[in-house]
Amino acid sequence: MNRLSLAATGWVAQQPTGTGWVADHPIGNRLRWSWPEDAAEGEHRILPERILVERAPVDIDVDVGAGIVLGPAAWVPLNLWQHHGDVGLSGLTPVELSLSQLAGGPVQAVRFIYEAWFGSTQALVQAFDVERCVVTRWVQDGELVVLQAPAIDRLTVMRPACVLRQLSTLDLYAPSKLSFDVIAEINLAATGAVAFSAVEPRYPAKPTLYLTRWTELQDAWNAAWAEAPGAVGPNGGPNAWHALQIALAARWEHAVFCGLGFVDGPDNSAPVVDTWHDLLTAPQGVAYRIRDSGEKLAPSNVVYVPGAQASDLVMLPAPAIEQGAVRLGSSGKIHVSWDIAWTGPNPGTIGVEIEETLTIGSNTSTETYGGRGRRELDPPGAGFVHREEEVASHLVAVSARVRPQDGFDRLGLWGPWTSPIVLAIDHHPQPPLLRSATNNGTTTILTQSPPADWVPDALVAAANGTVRISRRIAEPTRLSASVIRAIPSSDFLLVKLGGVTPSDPAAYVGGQIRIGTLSGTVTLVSWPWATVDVPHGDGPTAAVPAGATAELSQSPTHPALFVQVHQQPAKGLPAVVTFPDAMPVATSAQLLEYRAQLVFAGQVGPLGPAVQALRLPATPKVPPPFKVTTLGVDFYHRTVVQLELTKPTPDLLEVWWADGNVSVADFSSRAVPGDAGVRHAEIGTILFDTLSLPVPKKVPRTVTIGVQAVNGADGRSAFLTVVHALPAAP
Amino acid sequence: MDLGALHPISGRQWKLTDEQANAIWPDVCLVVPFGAQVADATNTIVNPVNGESVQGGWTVTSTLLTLQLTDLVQDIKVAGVTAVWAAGPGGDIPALHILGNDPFSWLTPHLDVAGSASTTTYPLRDQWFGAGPAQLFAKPRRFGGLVVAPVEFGVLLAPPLGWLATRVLRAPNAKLSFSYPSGKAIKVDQLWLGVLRGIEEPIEQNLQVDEEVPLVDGWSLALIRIDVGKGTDAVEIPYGGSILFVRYRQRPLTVTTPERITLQPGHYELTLSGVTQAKAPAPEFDDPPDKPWSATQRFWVEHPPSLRPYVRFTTLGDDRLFGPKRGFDPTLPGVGFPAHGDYLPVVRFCVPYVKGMFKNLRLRVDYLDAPNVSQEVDVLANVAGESALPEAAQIWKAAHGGTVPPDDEVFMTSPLPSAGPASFRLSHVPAAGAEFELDSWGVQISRFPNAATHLAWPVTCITRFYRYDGPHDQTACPTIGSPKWKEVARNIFWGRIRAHDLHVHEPERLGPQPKQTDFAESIAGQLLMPIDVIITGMPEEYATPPDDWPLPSALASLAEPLGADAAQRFLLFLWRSKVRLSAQAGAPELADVGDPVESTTIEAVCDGENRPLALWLRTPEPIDWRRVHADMTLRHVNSDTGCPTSYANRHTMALAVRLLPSIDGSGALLVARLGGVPTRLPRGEITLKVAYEPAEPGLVKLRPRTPLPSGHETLSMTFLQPFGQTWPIKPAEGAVGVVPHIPQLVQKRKFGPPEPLPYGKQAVHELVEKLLAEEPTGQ
Repeated sequence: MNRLSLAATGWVAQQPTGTGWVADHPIGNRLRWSWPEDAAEGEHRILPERILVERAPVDIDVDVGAGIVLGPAAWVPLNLWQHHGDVGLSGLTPVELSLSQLAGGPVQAVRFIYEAWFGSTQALVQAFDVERCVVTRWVQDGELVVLQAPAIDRLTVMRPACVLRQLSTLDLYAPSKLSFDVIAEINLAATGAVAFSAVEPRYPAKPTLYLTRWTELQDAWNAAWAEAPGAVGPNGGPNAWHALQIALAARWEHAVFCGLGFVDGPDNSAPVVDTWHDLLTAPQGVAYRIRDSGEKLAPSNVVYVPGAQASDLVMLPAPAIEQGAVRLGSSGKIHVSWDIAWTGPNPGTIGVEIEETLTIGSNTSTETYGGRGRRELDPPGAGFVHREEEVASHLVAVSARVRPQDGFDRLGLWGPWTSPIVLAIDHHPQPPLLRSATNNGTTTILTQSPPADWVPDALVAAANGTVRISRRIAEPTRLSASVIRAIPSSDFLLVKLGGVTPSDPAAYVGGQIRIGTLSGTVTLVSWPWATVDVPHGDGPTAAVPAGATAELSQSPTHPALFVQVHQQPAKGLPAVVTFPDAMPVATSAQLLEYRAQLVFAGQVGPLGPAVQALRLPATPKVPPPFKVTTLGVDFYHRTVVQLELTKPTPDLLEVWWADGNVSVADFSSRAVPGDAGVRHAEIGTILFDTLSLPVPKKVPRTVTIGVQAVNGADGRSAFLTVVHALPAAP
Repeated sequence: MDLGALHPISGRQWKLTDEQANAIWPDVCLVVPFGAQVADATNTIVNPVNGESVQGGWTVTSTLLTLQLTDLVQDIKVAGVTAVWAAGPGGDIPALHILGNDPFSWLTPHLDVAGSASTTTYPLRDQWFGAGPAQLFAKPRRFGGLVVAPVEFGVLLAPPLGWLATRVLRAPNAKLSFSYPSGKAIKVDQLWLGVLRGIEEPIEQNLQVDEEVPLVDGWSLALIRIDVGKGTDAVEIPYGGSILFVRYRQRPLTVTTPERITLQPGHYELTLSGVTQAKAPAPEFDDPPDKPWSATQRFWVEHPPSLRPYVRFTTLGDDRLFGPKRGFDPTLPGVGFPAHGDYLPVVRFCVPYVKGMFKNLRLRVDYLDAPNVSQEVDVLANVAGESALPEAAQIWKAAHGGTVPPDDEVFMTSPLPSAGPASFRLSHVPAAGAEFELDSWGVQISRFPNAATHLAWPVTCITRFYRYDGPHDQTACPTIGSPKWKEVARNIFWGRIRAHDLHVHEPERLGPQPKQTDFAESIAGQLLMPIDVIITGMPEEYATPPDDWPLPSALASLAEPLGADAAQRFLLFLWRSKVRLSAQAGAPELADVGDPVESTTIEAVCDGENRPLALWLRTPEPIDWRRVHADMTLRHVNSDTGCPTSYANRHTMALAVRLLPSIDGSGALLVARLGGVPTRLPRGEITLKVAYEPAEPGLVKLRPRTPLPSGHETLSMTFLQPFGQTWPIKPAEGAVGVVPHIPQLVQKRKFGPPEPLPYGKQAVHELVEKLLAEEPTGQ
């Protein structure tokens, strides 16, 4: 049978079940309850028509209790707990304990002293409510551990063995031995139809709700009652029951107006649609529960309230300002965002009021608003809100303070302010695209790609950013290393590399690593360990088998590979950027690689695409005159010649020859090179070569021998030629 | 779809057309360029794939349904057609090579790429369980390609390791299955569970832990192997602890390695067709209709006009004709080194199916001025079993149960009686029809039958040296008489036998000082028992050239390993040595440097003090110096001038030799190195040992007509070097530990009845007789 929960509504399930005596109006013990997810069997709606509120006197020793003052188990006398003695758990990690089997069903609280066995003295304990993990807690050896949730049916301890000493459980839904009396009968069925004045007596204080809002709330109420349980909301949104939950969760007052909350105190006046009697006039130790008058739903859990003033909500520490970022929005304007996150010890804190000071440039403004957000992994009592603004400056600072709010419209005191947090700039602007580059040895000229009308974006402009030009001075280094050990994780890989320690292991940070089919970005190197970022989504990652070889490469845009050669304001960047960049005289073909990047507000943007300037050495001069001496003929009838230049030359030279007496003008088209190729002359003047010259027999022959100078880029001078006579054989 | 053809041997490509003028060769692969690899329903692809990909959630499968090659001339379907997905850098590429049978053979002309090419094998993958809150689940839950179906429930838990962002899974006995999002099963052939273990956490004995990596806080990561036999798509989790990830490998499809076929000349038609199907990711989406595709292309096949693309190498002629060869080769392009007659002319092809095209060939050596030599030879598989297939292709074939057939070759057993230039011709004489030439190239037949004869110099003394003032010739000195072992005492007394002559057989041992343990095997060790006293006597020698004996750096820098610039370095060595080669007044210093000599000789290139800077080994013909390995020993002699008269009581110098070949490779400067330092040579008796390696790594393997016992030719030449100066003696620094001087040994030796010998029971005279038998020329 589905059951009522004397608990909070809305999305937050872990609500306190009740407060102590609240002195502010409406005075008394404040209660609220929620409905189950599904309708009772055979019913077409979730909520019953009438709710009975029951109360029983309980002797609660405020000074003893179970030592628990917060959460579902607050103020429950010790004798109402179920004690199980010491429970040892062992096996494989994690060890598990089924509380359903141990206690006969889910419980709302578990209490034990954790005793570690071998290994670490701390352990991770996780408590489950069917499929949902409701508590995650690190525990220490010897620690008294209390876990609370609306329902806990299973514990896991991430150790292979441990002992839970003096294990106790508390089932607040167990049949109670207390003597309950009905003190109120709430007519839920009437809520949707009655006038505002008819339900006003339910909330014995000055309401914030007024007629128009009540009508809207009634509309939500009636829409829910008209909706079949389990209906799907439009466009993936909340269904009518969920929408009503949200409205009721906003304020306890709303729940009370609708009949889902109640105050047991002296402020209550005569009811119109409900009935109540014998309400408390002063604090008293009592227990409450609610029941469906039609008994289609099981009774709720029991809530224990001490005969004392409810303690004030504990002041929260300064909130954390997280995920702050200044970015360029899609609109082209500066967009800032940040999260404000709070946490506190009281799981009854369902939200906060936030006072926030925002400084944009030199303008400061303050705003107060409520925060109810909660992330999936936030424990009860913690939460966050996400904030976004479009601003005109990249300098944005945020400070805030919060005060807690519980599910009964109570507010705590303001906590301390955070120090102003300057939001970090998260902007990686691309520099202007460059089309071409030239360098004449002293000056570099870079030309923007058409249409050459680049202007800095709003963020860079606001920060008076500059364009920095860098020239590559080194090639990325590479390293091949064996993988000694690999510790995989889902999103990263930790590898221990073998071999000689490279001179600068940090050079590989930001570079790539390949290990078999795995490739990723190196995010940290602390030799011999390297951390590799391995993005993969939901799919698998490539495995790294033992004995693999890792190939690391430095990022081609690593700053160490470049030297800054120029910088100028980004605003008004001309289509052609000219700056001095003196280079030594080129002795061979040389490519100079330039890249631009933006510098702004202490940030350095990514390097843009490379543009290259080709430098060629000067065309060499024509070699000096020379004379030719024949040294003989080899086995293959090739003629060995010696050329002696009249003066030394440092140039590279090559010897060519052509048959007959060939003019300089025709020589290059008719000549063929010698076997020796391009080389320096011995002492600058002597060249030896082997030429396949004709070997005269009876008749002398004439050949033309030429020499040309060649530079390191294969640039060639004109030939200097000599006509050489090959005498006939004697 | 444009279809092409690729000749996997030469890399030549065609676009397939129905034009006879554009006929392809019989052994080409027909190339079908797909956008992605497709599944095979024809059973012709030797390395089939599943042809599946996930595109926007849809599982798309393309399948080849028909693949047919028709001989239009005979109107029959060509049998035995195979196809293969080609391999490329980083894995398979979506190019189907019809008539191919391994993924790598098409890379034969691109060995640089073949070295990095690989076929797609499914890599090992680790499937994690994602970040998020801890939770239990009772229904099957998908993680990537993994589905966990718990028996009762599985649980995902935050791990006890702060740096680990993902959850661990505990699901004992759950069904672990592998599938695409569409539900199509994935077979895995390797499977492990990556589990988190605490200290003393047990693992059942029937589970095999392949690897365990210690983490922190007492935790470790263990890899538990799950036996999946030859492959499965589902297993039961046999482990009840925390699983960090599941490591698996998708099983590749079965691969076969059939023999490939070659086509006969004719007219053909290629037809292929298939279908592409897509399966929706979920039932609420409709599957799109199947999309068929097809292609048909006719083409012609003819024999290649020449065998040149199929020739891998030859031992007769210039091997550079069959592919670029870098480095040392000073010969005339197209001619190559003269071939020695003791080696068979061999032409090796780069495929195993030339015999399928030509069962036999006619090989002919056409001399310019001598009778031709012709021989009909069968095309045979090479007996060494060698294949030109890229290593990756060979490994692939072997790994998939195939064999690598040896490439074909032809060789000529007829002797080549004449020397000189010639043409080497390959032709085919069909059963019907005229002989047609398939290839030819120029060759040079050596006057020498082998390298040993080529390099041999029977003279026992260098008589010519070159100096700054020209060549100098002098009369050969007589050899130093070797003492008779029978007259040990007398020869020792006169200093004609050194201690180490008795102690060491191998002169190489004289580099370092002989150790006492060497004595046991030495003659002296067997003569003198026990050798327990090391007596000072023989002077210690320099380990590296002292004083001004090292070669000047300008010369030393030229004596580097062989390279394309060797001829230049040879000329520069002579030039920088300042020697004159001609006695003729007014002639250039290096006159006649290129002229071949009439017969093999050794001369010296000397400095101003007549000390040889290098020896010049000159022969009448070029020889491939890459195959020549030389070293020399120098035995010091007495008298510092004139002809040597006796051996000095000194250690023999062991010298390494660097070769610096001449312009045409007919000669080489021999530059000696002591302790790695190029050095001038002193007076002495030189023993030059030369080895000629027919199977030099990196070069064409020469095949001797008669197998060489040692695998290579060897030659030892001993001659006097009477020029220059005596090698200096290192000043004594307490010559402890040197080999005893014989006269002193003699004094200690008791002459008389032989004493018991420690090693063997041979009497002294027996040992001497043995020595004499080893050195029959001993005087």
